[in-house]
Amino acid sequence: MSTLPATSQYLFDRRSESGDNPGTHALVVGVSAYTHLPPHDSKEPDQRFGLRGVASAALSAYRMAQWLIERKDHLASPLLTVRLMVTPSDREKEVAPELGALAGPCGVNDFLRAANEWRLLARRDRHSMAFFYFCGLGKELARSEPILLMEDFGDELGPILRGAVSVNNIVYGLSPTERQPEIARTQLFFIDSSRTSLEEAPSRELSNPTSVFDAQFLGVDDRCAPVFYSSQPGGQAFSVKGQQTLFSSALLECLNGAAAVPAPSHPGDETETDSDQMAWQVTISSLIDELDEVLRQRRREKAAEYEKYGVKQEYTVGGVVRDAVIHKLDKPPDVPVSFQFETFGSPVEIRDECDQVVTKFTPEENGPNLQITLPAGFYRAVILNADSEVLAHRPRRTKLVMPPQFEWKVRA
Amino acid sequence: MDPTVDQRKERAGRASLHALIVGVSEYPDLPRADSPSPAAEPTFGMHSLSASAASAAAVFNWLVNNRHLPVPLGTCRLLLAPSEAEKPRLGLAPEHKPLEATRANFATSAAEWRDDASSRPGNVAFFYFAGHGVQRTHGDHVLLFPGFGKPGNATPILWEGVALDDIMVGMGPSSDRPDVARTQFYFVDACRDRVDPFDQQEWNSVPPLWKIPKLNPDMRDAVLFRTTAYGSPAYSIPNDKTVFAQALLDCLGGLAGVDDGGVYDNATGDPLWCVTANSLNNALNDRIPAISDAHGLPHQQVEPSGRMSNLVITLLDKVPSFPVTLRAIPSGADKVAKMAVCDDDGQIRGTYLQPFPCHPITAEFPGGYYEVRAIQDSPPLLKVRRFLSKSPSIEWRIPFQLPAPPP
Repeated sequence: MSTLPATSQYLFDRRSESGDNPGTHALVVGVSAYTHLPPHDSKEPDQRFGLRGVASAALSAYRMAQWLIERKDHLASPLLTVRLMVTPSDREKEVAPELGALAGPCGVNDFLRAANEWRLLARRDRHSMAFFYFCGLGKELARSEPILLMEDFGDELGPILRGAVSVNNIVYGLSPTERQPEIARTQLFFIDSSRTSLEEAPSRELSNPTSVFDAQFLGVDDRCAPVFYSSQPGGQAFSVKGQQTLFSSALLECLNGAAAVPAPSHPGDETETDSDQMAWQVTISSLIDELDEVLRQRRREKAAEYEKYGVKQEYTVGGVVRDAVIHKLDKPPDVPVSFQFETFGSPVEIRDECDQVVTKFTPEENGPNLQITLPAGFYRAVILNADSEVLAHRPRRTKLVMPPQFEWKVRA
Repeated sequence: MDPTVDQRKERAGRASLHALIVGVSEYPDLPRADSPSPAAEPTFGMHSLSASAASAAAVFNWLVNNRHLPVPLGTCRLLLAPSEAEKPRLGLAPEHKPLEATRANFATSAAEWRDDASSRPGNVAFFYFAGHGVQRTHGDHVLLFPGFGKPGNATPILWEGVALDDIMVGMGPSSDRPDVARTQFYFVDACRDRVDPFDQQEWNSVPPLWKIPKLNPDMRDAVLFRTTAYGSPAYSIPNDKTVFAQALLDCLGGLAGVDDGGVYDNATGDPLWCVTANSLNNALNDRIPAISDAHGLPHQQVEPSGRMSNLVITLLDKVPSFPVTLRAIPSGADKVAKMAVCDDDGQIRGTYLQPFPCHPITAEFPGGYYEVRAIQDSPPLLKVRRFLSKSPSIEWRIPFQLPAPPP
């Protein structure tokens, strides 16, 4: 009979408060320092695989764990546990000294133990949510067969891939089966690593990463279980040394509001039927759309740097992609709005959903584009004449101002 | 083999969409739907199908008649194996002659399709398969062609199969095909049953479809929609199409329309309505259960993967309409409310006076912004409310200011 670990092994644990209620269980892993690989700032990589440690994985994982804890009561299923496994680099410990105290072993056996305990928690209630984030070295054995390298990768005990685990094995291992019919049906996987091949190793030796879970015959897979990869098959993920990975940074920006969408009221919803407030939330679908947009925006902003260092940060989605709420925002997100005008010299009022004027200005020809920040929501631009009377009605004047940024062309 | 539709000359030197569409209903070695099919080898409990070819033909017709694709059609190859009952309702134009859907014809057509798609990275590859499918392991999907179910021990069980991964990997960019279409859409409308008796075989190999050189980094915008989840069957509407095909066509026809796909009218700068991979997924999740319920069929769960995002599948020729539900709040407001729904130009699009025939009120409006106004002697609105008609269907909650109850 498996037993669950003590509270002390978690960064966050409020199981004792939750009773038997469903909740979110998170396993967050960031491996920057590898025992058998040179550190990230080493001049020479490991001679066997051409690899060295990384400089941002532990910090990225830590930031992700912090976000979960910050949003603990606003997740679609309240946060119950966060297990954080990190091996920070020296540089990350300088940036976030608390990482030193949080560091612990992340070898393959440690991961197996943590992952199986995490699954035990997720198995208890189908309305729970399982959250998995890995940042560190990743490789791809064949198309759609990504693997994650643990801290003891390259220890030369057993096969080459003994210190690696398969992403597919983790994802399939959390499928609903006869042994785990009540497993959490919402599962989020974020794989923040490269997916290049291990070119130095003969392919015949690359068939046996360590299994995290048994391969069981599966039933109908009715999960919502998307896998967000920070790289395309065969592609690389990127980071700024001593800061977060580009993917985790964009992901957190999206989760913090850049990917927020209005929560629709669906026919038949029984809750809050008397509320007419527009709630904002981040969903799997909105995250899919806006991750793209945020990454594109970063490419535009840092085009020269990206060009210089050959950065091509992409992302892709796999697994079982259905829409589901990830978390609800406390208030509408703030949206940078950039106005362009076709008419000049007349005052323009921006009115909110209740027709209250939120700002008023007079655009001038050859003047700079007006940029303001508005809470997301419905707005209208109303052009006035010199006597502050509303000019003739203009069609298509309502805008739903949405994050991450909004360009508003005010037409004549 | 000539494509069913060939516009390569007209499209010479320009990016084009190249499609391969397959529908297999008739499996000569499988029993008819009304006959028993033993669960064991060689038929494994399967029957011939009744709607796959008609579904493929409908998708073909949508594609060849669509003037709003992100890039115009270059070629379309259609392979069909219809049942006798389906033949009269395929609805193909006389000039559109499909090839017989055999594995051999598929292999040839797929190779030619890949050649066409490999002429420039700006091309779009489009693939649709309807027919039987099985799944050996979790990540796997084998598409079956006529000849499956042949009795006897000489032929491997999946000899007439094609592994989906083989198709998708073979369409990847490689040193041989560096310019293969970077945008690729795959729709697989087939069951994903795990067939337990397969496990009695030592091997269940599927013959390779083609040569696959070592791939370059895979920077494709490729998205795959599978009609059903692992281990589950897909269903069809009797004497019509598959549930997935019907839902797909409804969604591509407008139900999945969004105006935030990043495509704008050159003249006006207004966003154009389009269907993206992500909006299609959201709308299919809404539409498939609705169709299943309407025909008393079990639910099936669409499963997409790949580069979802704002990948535009098709533009729409007009603003699509969406179902909305109007609910007057708070409780009791429906007994006194009188309201008009005005579009963003101020035109009244619907008037609703109590007593309502039913509440909440069901309606349909073209996508866009709306304002609800209290009219006649209705209690006033608590505040101005604006709403969006969009996919999937949503509820508008309209707040009225009701008089305080007498003390």
